[in-house]
Amino acid sequence: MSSTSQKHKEFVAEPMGEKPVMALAGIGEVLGKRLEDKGFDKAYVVLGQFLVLKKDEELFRDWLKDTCGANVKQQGDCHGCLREWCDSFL
Amino acid sequence: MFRVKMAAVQLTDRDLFSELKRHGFTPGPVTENTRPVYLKKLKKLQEELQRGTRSGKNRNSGSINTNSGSSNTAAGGAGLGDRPASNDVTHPRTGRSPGSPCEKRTDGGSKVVLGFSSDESDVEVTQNKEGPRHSGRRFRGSSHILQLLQQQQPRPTETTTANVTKSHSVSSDISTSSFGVLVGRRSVSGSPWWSDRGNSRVGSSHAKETEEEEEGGDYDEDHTDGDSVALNGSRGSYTLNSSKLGGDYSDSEDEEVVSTKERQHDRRLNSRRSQPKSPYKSGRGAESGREKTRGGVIKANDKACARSLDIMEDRGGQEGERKTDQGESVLPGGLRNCGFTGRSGPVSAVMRESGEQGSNCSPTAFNNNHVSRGDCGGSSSRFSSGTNPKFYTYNSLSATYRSNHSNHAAGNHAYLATTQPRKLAVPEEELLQQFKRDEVSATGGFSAHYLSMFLLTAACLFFMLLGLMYLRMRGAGSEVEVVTKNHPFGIEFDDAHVGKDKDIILKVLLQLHEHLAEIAGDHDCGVHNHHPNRSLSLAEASDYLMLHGTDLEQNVASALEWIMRTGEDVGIRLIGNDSEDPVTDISEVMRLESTHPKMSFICRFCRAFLTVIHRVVLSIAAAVVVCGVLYYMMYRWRKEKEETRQMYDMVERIIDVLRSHSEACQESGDLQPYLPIPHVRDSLVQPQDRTKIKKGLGQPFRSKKWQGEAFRPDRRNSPPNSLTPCLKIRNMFDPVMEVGENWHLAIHKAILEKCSDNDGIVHIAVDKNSREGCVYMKCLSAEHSGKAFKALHGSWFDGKLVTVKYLRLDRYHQRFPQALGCSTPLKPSGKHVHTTTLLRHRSSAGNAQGFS
Repeated sequence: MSSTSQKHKEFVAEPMGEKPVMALAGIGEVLGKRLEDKGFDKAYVVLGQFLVLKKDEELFRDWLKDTCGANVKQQGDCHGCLREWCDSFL
Repeated sequence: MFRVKMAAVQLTDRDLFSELKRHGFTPGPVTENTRPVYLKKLKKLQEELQRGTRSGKNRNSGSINTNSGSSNTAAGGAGLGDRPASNDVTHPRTGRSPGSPCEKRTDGGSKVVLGFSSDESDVEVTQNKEGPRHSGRRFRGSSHILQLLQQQQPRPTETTTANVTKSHSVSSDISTSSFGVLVGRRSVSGSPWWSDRGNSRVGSSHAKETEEEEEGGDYDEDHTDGDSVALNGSRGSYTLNSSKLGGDYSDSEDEEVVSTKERQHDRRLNSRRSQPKSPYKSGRGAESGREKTRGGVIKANDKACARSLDIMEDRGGQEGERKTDQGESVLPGGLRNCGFTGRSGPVSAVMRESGEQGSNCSPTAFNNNHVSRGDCGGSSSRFSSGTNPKFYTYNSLSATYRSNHSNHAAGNHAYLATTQPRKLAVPEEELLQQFKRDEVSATGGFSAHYLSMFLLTAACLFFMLLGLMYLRMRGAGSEVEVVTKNHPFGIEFDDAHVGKDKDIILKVLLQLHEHLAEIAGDHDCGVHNHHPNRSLSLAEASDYLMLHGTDLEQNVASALEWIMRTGEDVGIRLIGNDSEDPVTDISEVMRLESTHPKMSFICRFCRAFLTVIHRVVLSIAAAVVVCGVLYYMMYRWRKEKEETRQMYDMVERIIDVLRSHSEACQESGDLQPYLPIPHVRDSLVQPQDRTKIKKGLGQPFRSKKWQGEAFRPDRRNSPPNSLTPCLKIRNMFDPVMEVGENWHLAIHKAILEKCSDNDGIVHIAVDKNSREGCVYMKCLSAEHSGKAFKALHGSWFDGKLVTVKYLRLDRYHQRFPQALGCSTPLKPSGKHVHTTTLLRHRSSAGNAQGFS
């Protein structure tokens, strides 16, 4: 199993509340800016999208790629982060 | 891609949703954010399906994929052999609203149609205007046309006779009813069909085939429904056209396959369609006939309705219908049909012709122009048979489109051409990459493994060789000869002595050296046979030399001198009387010793080995000792830490107790601020521990004494007023720890003493068996009991906190009937005598103390 980053651990450790979208693992400044421009300014909005896609990994990855141009690694990080958060808090 | 995009855009969310569901995938809500994702997913699913169905299960897949249970399906399925499946396939599509996205038409080639369909829709529209022109693609873009085509296709297998008979009527009907029907059909089947076409476009020619089949099925179905044949025919042709268009796209990918398949499909479709389309196929009929003979087609084309349905099998007929939109002449359509139905060659030729004609076809009012339609249909049918047909279809369709909309076909075509190879390449690429990676990693691992092993062995060998060489060097002895050659006497010596003498001297030295080395080696190796000493005395050396025949006695002195003079180590050491002092003069030399003992290799090796072993053992022993010391120190340190920690813990607890007690003291003024140590100890140490300690130390804790009060009996923790004259006192003792027979009397005494100011206690009963150490007390009145309550409740007795509660009098009497008659107040003094006796039984003297 691949190790998780610090960002991932921090995000998954507590309810996301009003954390910005850049708090998501795999989403840095550039991607976060792009997401914000599209209207996904908070992490919970991205969570909403993830849930709307029925937590499907492939769809979410595609969406992420289309929306902010994330590469495979970033997609995987973000998806894993959200999935784990959902497992813990949803 | 352009076409696909157009088609995709025109898919409503609902259609996208149902399409995805048809693929067996349950999508979430389709919103503006999820739409593109789902579109991609749909495309992927369609691709997979096409790939899966390429194995030859067109029909099945097609039907499975597209069978969304439209109403038509049932009808269509009834009368059509294998077609029904396709009918079903197409019907669901028809049932869809016009905006349905690319459906999964199994035939990929025809899916190109997706874009095509929009063209077709244009055509359809125009057709509508003109009449039962299927090609009227004016529909917003897809669905209608699709529907139309689909419906046309299902009908292909209609009985030829029926078609023939209807042909005439149809032609007339076409203008009116067919149009309406077409429209209706279109609406029904257009979207799904259109979407199918779009799908097919993405897919392979295989899909196209399927689509054509489906279209045929639809066509048949429509026919069964009773629509005008013309309608069916037009639809069929329409669908055929669209499918062929799709074929165009796929052709670019894989012309051969597509063409072959399309040809087959077209054949089938044509056969199917031709029949129902008889009316249309005025030219169509000719087209169908074209399959048989070109000429026949032409003839059929010329005739509006006379075509025999047999001829109708030519798919081209259907397409010809479509083409009629474009106002082509019947003849060309027929020609096209003929060519189409024939071999690929002729077909293609015809198709080309048709293509030209198709392109020439301009969107003209259909208005019963069967012939023209037939032509168009023929051309379109021809397309299906191969690249040419496709191209033709495309052209005709595009022409139609042009009439109404911009021609997206080109864009779609190109898109299809590019996307397909790309799409196919991508997954393969990924696979290849994966394999490559695996290979690389595998080989790398192997090489790394071997390399490491190799290096290890090389290093070991090297070091071994080095050691051996070293040993050998040592054992070889010095090159005395070399040294002797460079003697310290220098030139003078050489000059002073004759060469012979010099040689003799050198020989002497050599012999001496060797002899001495042997002696030393033997001595060192433990072979004390000849020479107890390692060194050789001068006399012995001389004797040895004499033995060996070297008449060198006189030269011995010079040799020795030489040895002394040379600063180098020639292998012979001169020892004087004092072995430690350096020899400076010959006269002092007493003994000779070799500094390079000659030992056998084995001996030397053994010595070296033993030496090494000794050294290693010593070092290990030293290390072990050091480690042991360290461990011991760590252990001690840990122990100390633990002890201090425990001590601190105990101190903290004591502090806590004291603090709580002080707090309690602050609340109540008459409590003592000091706690007796035993009390503290008791409060901290568990009873079990106390027992242990007691055994060891006697009973220093058992004081049987009132030890203060924990809290002020105020209103908070006691009832406001005494309720009954009976009390239950808890925690006065521990039945497990009580020894003796009359300890309960001591309890009595203690209570009475505590309540000495209360003279209303009439009965006390100690429940010896109670776990809680209960004592029951009855007083004269509630007031007395209240006083006793205040005195007892919350007090410490014997290290336990006493609690009191009121009991009901009747219960008390039930329990202790003897108390009913008690009315004399009990006095502690009265018991005192008894308690003293009791005390004697107690093992600790402290009890007496406690009770005193």
